[in-house]
Amino acid sequence: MHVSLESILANRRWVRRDTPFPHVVAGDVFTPDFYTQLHTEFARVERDNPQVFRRNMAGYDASAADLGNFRDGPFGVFASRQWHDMIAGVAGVSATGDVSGSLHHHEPGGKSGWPHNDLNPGWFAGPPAQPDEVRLSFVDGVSYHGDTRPPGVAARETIRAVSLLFYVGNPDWVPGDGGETGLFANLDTAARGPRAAVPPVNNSLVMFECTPFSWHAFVSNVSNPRNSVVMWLHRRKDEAVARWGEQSIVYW
Amino acid sequence: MPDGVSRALSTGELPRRVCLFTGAGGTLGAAFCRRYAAEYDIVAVCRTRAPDVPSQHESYVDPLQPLADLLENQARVFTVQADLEQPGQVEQVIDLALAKFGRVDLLVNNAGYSRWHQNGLIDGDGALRDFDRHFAVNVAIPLRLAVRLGQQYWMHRDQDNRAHNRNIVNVSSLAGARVFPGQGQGVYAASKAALNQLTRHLAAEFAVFGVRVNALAPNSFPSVVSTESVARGIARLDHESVTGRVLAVDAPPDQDPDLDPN
Repeated sequence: MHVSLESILANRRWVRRDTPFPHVVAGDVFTPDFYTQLHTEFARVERDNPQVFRRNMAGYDASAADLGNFRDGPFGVFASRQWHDMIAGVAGVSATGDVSGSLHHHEPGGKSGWPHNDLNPGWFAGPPAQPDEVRLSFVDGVSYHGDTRPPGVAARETIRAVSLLFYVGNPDWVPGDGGETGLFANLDTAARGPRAAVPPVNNSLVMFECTPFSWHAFVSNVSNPRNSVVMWLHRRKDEAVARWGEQSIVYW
Repeated sequence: MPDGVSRALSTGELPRRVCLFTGAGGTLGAAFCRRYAAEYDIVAVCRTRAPDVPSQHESYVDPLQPLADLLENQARVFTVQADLEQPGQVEQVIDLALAKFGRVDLLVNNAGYSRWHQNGLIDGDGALRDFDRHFAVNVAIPLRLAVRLGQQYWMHRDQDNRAHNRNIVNVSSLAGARVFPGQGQGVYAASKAALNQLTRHLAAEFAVFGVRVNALAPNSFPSVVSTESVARGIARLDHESVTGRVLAVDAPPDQDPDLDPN
């Protein structure tokens, strides 16, 4: 899928913030027309095809539908090489072309998550992606978590490089509704709550490089559902190990 | 050497005006920073929220040209997180501002506290309970900032102050001069009335060393007057020569305010 980002991006001034750890936020990401397509598609999937949402994340109170199901529709933008390269450029990382992503849905009253840094491995089938290609996870029976794959199927281990969360299909948000992405300076003071919280305002995003210190968590949504696209870019494992050490990788 | 001084020496240009702005993370503070960051070196004092403008902690990036040097990032505010109600914080904020820029040309006392008592002053203990905090935030902190800045920097620089038209703008409220029945603003309004009168006294005393003091008294923003018109009022007072005045901002949105004859 070729995407002309110039034609669908509405905001060319994303905000880079240093605290509590480096991250980028942006509102009004896409043009109203394109955002409406995403919003409509999310509602259609929830209405017509709810079985694609699976509650499959231990300790994480959400259901998810793999991005691979939607590559031919408007959500295909998140699986495009143009989007991949743009996000890698904003984060300043050299990414592999491997993408794992899904549509997430939290029912109202979802519990707060535990702070984690996303510096996890991700497994992908086949050879490394070509420069114009994106390889998605959960292809050819290869488990993203590396625990299962069919006999004879080759797979590569990568490490998450960038986390991105895009809010779509949510009711209007006001302070007190919860459902934010909480960002933490460290684990020691995490019990006091996040140092920063990015609210689930439609057509906005938060993204950050995955490091040993990128502590973040879902904040309980009190009264409304919370919907989003969650995706990760990846880097070569040897680069991650050289930078932060093998002991920093958080294996599943 | 503070930034403002070094910039002036290296370019030969007059240094930008240095503005110390409290409550900078609120609606008015953020609007002022967005509009005037290119004209002032702003020390943006925030308690919890920071203004959504480029700062030492925050910058813009073009997602399609992430390495581009954006013009907006050249005018960054200097944010300082401080709870001015805590002992020593006012003095620390002034120390930081002077260490960073070497001077303060404009102090904007914008940080405020408001709690309405919709059922009236007589309804239980709410008005009594909230009285001290209203006067602490809306009167005592502006007084402390003015006094400490005067003592630490302004009082022995009368000629320099006049040359640079240095001044204070206290952000008051139209409620400090008028009664809006049924709003439950009694305690808040009394604190703003006190701020207005404090403004006049400060003006009379600070005239000795050439620092002007005025107040801006807007109607509700952004519901009755636009936030931008209030921000413009601050900048206008900074460039005026008046002192001891309370400027009402009670015009339709997007119109400039008129001077109130006290």
